Amino acid sequence: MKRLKATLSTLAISAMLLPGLAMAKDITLGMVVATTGAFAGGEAPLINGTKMAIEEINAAGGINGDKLVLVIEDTGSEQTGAINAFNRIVSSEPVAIMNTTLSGFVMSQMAIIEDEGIPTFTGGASPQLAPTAKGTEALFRVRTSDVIVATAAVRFVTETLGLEKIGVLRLNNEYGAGWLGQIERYLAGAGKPAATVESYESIDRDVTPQILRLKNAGSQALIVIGDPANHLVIVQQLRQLGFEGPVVVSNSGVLPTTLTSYAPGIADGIYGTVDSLPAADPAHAEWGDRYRAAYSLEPDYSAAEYYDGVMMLAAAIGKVGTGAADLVAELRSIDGYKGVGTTYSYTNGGDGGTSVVIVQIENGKLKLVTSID
Amino acid sequence: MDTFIQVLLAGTTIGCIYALVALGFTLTIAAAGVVNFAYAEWVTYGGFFGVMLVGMGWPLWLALIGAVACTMGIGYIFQRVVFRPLEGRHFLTTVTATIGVSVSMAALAILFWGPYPLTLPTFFGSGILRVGEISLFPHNLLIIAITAVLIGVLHLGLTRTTIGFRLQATAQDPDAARLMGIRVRRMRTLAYLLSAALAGLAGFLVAPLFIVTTTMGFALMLKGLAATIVGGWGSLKGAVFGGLLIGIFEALGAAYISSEYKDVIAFVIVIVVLLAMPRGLFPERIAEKL
Repeated sequence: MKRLKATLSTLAISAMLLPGLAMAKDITLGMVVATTGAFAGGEAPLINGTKMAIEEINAAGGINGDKLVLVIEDTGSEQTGAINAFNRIVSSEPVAIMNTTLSGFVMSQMAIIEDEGIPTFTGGASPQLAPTAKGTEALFRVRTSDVIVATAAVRFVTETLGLEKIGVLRLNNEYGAGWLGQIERYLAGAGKPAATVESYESIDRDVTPQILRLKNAGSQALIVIGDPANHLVIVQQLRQLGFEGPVVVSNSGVLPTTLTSYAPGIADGIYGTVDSLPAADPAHAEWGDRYRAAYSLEPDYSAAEYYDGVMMLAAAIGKVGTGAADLVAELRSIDGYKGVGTTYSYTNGGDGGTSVVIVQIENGKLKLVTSID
Repeated sequence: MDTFIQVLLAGTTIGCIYALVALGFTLTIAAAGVVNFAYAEWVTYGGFFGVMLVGMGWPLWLALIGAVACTMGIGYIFQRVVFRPLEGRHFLTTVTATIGVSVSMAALAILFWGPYPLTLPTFFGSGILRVGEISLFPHNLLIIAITAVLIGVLHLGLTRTTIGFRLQATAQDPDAARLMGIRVRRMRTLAYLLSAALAGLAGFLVAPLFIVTTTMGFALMLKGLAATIVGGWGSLKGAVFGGLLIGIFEALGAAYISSEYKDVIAFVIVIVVLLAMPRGLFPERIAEKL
């Protein structure tokens, strides 16, 4: 009899709670990144940043009571994989998509992004992704464009370091070409000598000929554009071949995961470009501590920017609901949102992030050198 | 002149690595008639095993032996699980199976060792020898020396020992070899083990230069395949010469023509050699069988 009473009581309480439970629903947030293949390491912080934001939002009660649920699809670090993954994620009807940082992959998804109209965030930095170039209304860059970053790198070498003969060692792809174009435009506009340019393929692991050509051309400083594994090899070979001038590496050369892989002491003195250095910003110290505790990694700008993306999205959902068109319109109205990673603007053709800082590796850690406005 | 010597040294080092990879690749082609596209992963695993064992506190030389032994273990398992059940099937069936193994091994590598690039120290630290304006990297010299010794040992082993004759007989005509009392299956197992050992060695040796990633072996296998074709399909001598030729011309091309067209130069060499000598520099009968 006691057991029957207990069962009936449980059923009665459940019945009272059910209407409330039925009102709360899950909001699916899609994510298309590499979890396998060559870019999996570089994109892992994006997942960390996204998860951290979702956990915070849900722990605080969700968005108007609704919980965010993350669904991840793997690009396999390949272009066709990126298109297939995007299609798969669209079929799960997400409210928005946190997309890969690989600009070339995003370009290949552009038609689907435009057709579906689902708000899509990317850390891709190619100038081609700008809304005024080949981007689309529903695509939001959570990153500072390479137009700004590459210009900052060359301005640092010419204006801050006062050097004019610049060598560029660049990856032979869309990313490397974007940087090179910007560097050449800046030098031409500033009336400076043209850079000496050498290129390499992503799978190349010996760049001795390229480094010697740059040295023999009298390059005083080098700007190196590549992926994490490229940077590890190139920095090592630059040291071995005795290149003594300043070296500025592109963003992936100073990611926390790259820093831990340089041979001890070999990368000290190398400069790098990042959108921000959250670890060095007292305003974000608490965020940095939580990130370190959760992922046993130094916080970096890419994790912070995907975190910011989810936070901007959550605020927009809270305001206008989950309709794709309303969300796109709401996100497009953002002007000067100060996040952890950078400050974002999407209104009036705004192209996402706006900040660049130059850092230097010292004892295997990053030191803030200067901000380039 | 200094630049030329520096580039030549770099090209020779890379050429030796291509030669090692091409040798291992060729061994299974010659002895078992199998084009093993999982070879890229064998090389990658050689690097990963090295990183793992050094991380466990093993000294480098012991880690080298351990990495080679572990890769040989993979070669043995591959031979038992994939090759034997498919023995006698169509050439393409086996090739497809090796591609499947390759994809699975790449995914497993991510699960075991994670997606981040890993590094392995060299036997000589970051020391550099300078001769005038030329920088000599002890690890590169070690690669050249080990490759030269290995090629010599392999050549003597194949041409002066009974096992070598049996292996050659198996490669040339397995049916006739079987009739002569040679245990063909055992010889093929030996070829797989040797091939895997070379992969493990190549993976371990290039790890400090290449950075260990899940795609490390792929680039090497592409060039190793090109070296195999240039040298002559199934020819061990050809694999060595093909590897060196591609490595050196690639480096010289990048230094004196254009780094943009480095790979184009390497593959133009392949095309030119094949136009002049369709069966490669050192043609083998095995090429006719595949």
